[in-house]
Amino acid sequence: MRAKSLLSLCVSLAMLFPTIASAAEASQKSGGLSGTVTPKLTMFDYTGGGDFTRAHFLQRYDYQKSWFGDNISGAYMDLDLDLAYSNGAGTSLSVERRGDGLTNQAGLARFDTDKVGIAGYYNHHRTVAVGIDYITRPNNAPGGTDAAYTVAADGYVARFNDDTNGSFFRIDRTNYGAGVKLKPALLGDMASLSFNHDGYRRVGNTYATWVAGGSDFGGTAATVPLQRWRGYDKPVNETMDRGSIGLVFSPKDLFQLAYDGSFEKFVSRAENRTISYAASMPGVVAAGNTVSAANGLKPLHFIPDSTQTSHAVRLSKTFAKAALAAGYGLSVLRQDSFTYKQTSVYYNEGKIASQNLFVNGKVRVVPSVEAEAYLKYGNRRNDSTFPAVGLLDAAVLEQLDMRLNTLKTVEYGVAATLRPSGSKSSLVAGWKRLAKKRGFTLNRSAAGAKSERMLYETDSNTNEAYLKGTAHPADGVTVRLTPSYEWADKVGSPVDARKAVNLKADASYATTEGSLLSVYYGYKDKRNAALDYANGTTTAQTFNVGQSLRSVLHSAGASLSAALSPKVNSTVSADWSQSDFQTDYITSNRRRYEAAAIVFTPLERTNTLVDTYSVALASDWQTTEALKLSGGYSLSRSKGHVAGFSELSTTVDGGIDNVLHSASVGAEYALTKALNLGAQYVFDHYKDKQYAALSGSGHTITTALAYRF
Amino acid sequence: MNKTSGFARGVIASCLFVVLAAAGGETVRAEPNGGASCLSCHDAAAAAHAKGKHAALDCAKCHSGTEAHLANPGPETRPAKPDAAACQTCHIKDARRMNWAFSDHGKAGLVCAECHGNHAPKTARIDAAAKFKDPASKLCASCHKEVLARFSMPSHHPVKEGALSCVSCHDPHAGKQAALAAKTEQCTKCHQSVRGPHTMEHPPVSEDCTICHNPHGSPNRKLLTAAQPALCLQCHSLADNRHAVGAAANGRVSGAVLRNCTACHGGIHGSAFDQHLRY
Repeated sequence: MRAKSLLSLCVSLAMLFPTIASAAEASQKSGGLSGTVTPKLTMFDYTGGGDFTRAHFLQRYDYQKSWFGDNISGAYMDLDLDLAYSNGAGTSLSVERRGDGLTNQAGLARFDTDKVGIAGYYNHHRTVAVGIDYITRPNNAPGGTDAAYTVAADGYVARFNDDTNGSFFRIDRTNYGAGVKLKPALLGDMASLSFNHDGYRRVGNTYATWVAGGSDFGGTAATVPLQRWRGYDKPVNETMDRGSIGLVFSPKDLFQLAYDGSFEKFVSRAENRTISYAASMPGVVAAGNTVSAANGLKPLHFIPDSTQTSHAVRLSKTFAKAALAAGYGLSVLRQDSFTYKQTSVYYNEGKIASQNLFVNGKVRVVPSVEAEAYLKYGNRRNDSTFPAVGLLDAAVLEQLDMRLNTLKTVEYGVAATLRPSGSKSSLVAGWKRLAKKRGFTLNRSAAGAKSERMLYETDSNTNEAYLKGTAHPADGVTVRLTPSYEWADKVGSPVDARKAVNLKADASYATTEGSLLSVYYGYKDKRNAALDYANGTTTAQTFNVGQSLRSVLHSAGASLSAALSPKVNSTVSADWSQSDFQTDYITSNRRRYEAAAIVFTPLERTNTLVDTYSVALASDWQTTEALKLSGGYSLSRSKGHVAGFSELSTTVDGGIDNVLHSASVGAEYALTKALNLGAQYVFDHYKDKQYAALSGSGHTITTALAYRF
Repeated sequence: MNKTSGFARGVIASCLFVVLAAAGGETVRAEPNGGASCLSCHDAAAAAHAKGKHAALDCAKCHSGTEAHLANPGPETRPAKPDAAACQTCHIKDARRMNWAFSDHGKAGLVCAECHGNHAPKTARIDAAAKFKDPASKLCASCHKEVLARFSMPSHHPVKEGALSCVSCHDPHAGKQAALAAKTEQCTKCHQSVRGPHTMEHPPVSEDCTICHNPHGSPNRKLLTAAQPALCLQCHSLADNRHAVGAAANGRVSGAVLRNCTACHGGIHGSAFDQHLRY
């Protein structure tokens, strides 16, 4: 891989430079070739940060890998390209590449004429997104398991079995695509037509956890509960390929009619594990526990292959004082692969169909006032096999809790915009309403899942009234204010807002010299205490236990970009956000579908309050004509408690307390008019008081030689 | 990544580049405003214009009022910068732009030039540029500061790191009112592995991913809008006979159970077999 990638880069460069040399002679004003070629050498070293060989905090999103195979320290070379060619008459070609090593790179090539556009891209990125989950797996975190759990129904909590055998978790994702667009100039100025192919490949492995059912393991009864809770190394090998076609037809610009169609195929080639794998685990064998052939076929985190076809038609028409737009879309998702446990009971169709429709209209009532109305309709229908006796059957206990058959949404609204002619200021006043209608099937066995035992209902009806104001009270000053109020006639889910107040405000001041000061504030306060559980027998309601939610979000920030002198540009920004989320912690004496009387008990009120602060400073200084220095520092800190339960205080999960510092210094020196030598050093330090094992530091030095032409 | 195809792509791109560069041949320069030269004064703009996609277009195609300005050059007769309507005379024949009038950006009174350079691609200001690798996201971040701040949170989509861009999810030329896909499809066009179809569905997964996830960033793991277990407890009560010590009614529910609901319910997005979404 390394050798081929390096060879590819060298060949590319070797072929490009003669072209560059000749084409760069073209007059700059009449197009020609321009760009920058930047070979880079990066050295890095990490200390600490989780398990040294597996998950590293800095590798979570910005994974680096050495040419020598080490992900902790090493070096690699890469190449950035930014090339553009134009013939000065509208024909252009651009090639861009950003490379940060084998595990983080992207490229784009685009060719355009007035008649045709051709483009292709790729993006490759590695993540280690399950690092925290793995490091804090139940058998590795204080309070992760509890030996007090000993009976058959709950004894699984006493032990967690890690079956990963020290795997290294990471996922590589490569996105790619190409497209051709035939522009209106080629199609009689009446239409445009495009063909695209997009896709990705996702390969690697991740950490997955599961709990077996009470009867999935057999053998020595006393040890069965201890085998139930497990984690394993789940392989990932997925591809997605989507072909799409787009046509816009606009005869003499009378209207625009567009069609978009796509066919998308998703395939998971990774081994589909079943419960049977656990039978061979040493701990299971040693304890004399077994997995029966029937239970062993139960699928673990099965990912089906699927195909999605989509069609969308849009129509728009713009008049002198009005505009109309309408569209209809249909997409059908089909399951292409099935588990044995599905096909053996004739569950052979997985199908979700979604229809969407919109109609928008606006008209200028008087020169400074515009009125708008819109309607949106959506219908998601689950057309999968139902029932499937032995798997998914509303008449059988524990085979179906609740099935969402349809989800219909209707949203409509009106708005008026006041925009005085000649002014950029505006005021919008509007109202909209969202109605959801859920069609679901509940278990109808003798016990069943009674609707009054759950906080999920068929209807949600929410209204929102809003204002959006934009003003320019002085040269360079912009002020925006967007307050809104939501209220629900009916809430169908705890996450709906029974009442909500939202405010967004921001202001900015831009000087003619290019300095910019901006501030913002956001506030959301959502409440919902309209849903409750019904206590009592399966039929008789005695008293209700209400659920009460409140979510308050604040966000605020300020930033300043300014030229302190003709040679010094600086920027500073500070942001703060606070999430205050409260809900009732309610228990019940039994599961909601069990036959006997159920008693719900409100225990505690959760208290989740997390603050996040970030500060960033950056500056660059052109010390001489040839030398530019730069530096920056950023801090991001999150701190708070996420539940407030006394039980969680004994685990590592009761709070969030981490800080990431990142400091950088750099220098860029112009060796010649066309050649720049640059170097940058970045130091990252992450400290996590809650998950101490993740704390660590990273050093990265990048040197680059940029050739501009 | 497929090694061979990666290598082949590099070579093919280079060959294509060479061929096209060689085939460029004689260049044709746009004559602004029917031969009258704007370039004698607007040298820098002309240089950028000649390299852009609009190189073949006359200046007057986009700038109205050039005749008056040529007759009497000066700031008071400066031709207007093109507004959205001017750009749309050509660009409306594009499915992604035909609903601009109903887009959030359009309704906010933005003009194309606020994001797009008329002559050459627009670059972002220094503060945003410091934080994102792709140019489109830098531009978005220069206005959407609140969203920018969320990408500094411990859990975030890797936009800063260059794995994706704001425009991977958001179409800046359209809006929610003109969307023709279910809410979940915006996420599952990349996250197909969680879309099923599942035999056993989790209703919020079918309704809207943002019920549980904030796609921009969160202080909570996995982009969750609130940490577990509070996030789950808003909709679910805990049955003592499966979660309390001794399975006893009103028994103590341990921190081992409360700390991470998905450690047991690992099939939270849906399951092929298990109603309890444990696998």
